[in-house]
Amino acid sequence: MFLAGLIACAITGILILVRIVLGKTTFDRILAVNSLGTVIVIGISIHGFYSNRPEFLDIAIVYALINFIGTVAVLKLFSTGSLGGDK
Amino acid sequence: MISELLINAFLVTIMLSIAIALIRTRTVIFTVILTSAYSLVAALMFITLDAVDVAFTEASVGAGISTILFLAAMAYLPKKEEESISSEFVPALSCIILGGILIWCSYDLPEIGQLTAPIHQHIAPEYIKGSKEDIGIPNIVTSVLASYRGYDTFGETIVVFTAGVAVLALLQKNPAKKNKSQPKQKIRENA
Repeated sequence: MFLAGLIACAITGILILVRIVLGKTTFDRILAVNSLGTVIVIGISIHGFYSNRPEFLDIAIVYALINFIGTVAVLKLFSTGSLGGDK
Repeated sequence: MISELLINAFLVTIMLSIAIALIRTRTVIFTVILTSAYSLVAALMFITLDAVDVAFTEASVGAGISTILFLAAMAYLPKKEEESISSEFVPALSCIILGGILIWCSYDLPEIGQLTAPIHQHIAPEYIKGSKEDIGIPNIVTSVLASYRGYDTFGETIVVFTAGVAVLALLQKNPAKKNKSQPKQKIRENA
């Protein structure tokens, strides 16, 4: 059951990776990296239950937060042209 | 066991393909994004190796903070990387030699989890035995970090604090610029 979930995550990850490498525009790539982060969060959770160590859920939460912060930082850079101060 | 091997092989393949894409890209923002993705997969790799604390650090520092720092620095850079004039032969050769030496050295490493490895024989048993009486807290990792190697941790904290202050100082807006009474519209044009 968990193994099937892991395999599904792996296949999704490969598809997203293809999009990251071939991506037409930068926004495609940003979105793809963001969804790769989501898939990895799911993957960590499933792997934790698969190896009988669900404590790993903590890391999945940190991942989700980091993923969000990273995406917001990239998009803010695009909209304002800088990160420090209000240009 | 076999599934562990499969997961590791899959992760290494993904990291390898991201690294190859990284070499071939010439756009700065794409490089930053790919580095972030690489760190994410690397942290996943650390989790499968049961190094949860390293995975935490990799996820927050490698994928989070350093990506944001790269982006902040990127605002001052041109959008495209210049084609390099010098040949790529020497860097490629040195990378291959270094990688070969590392792989060669890895054959001398003890097996993962082997009890007779030097790291498990030297001082670790004393820590495990004496931690409860010496420090009095149940978590051995905490007692090693905060008491047995307290000075190390103190030094590390100073280094991290200095780095944080330096980054804040770099990211701060130039106070000399702020004092000039320029109209806001003009600043926007210059940016």
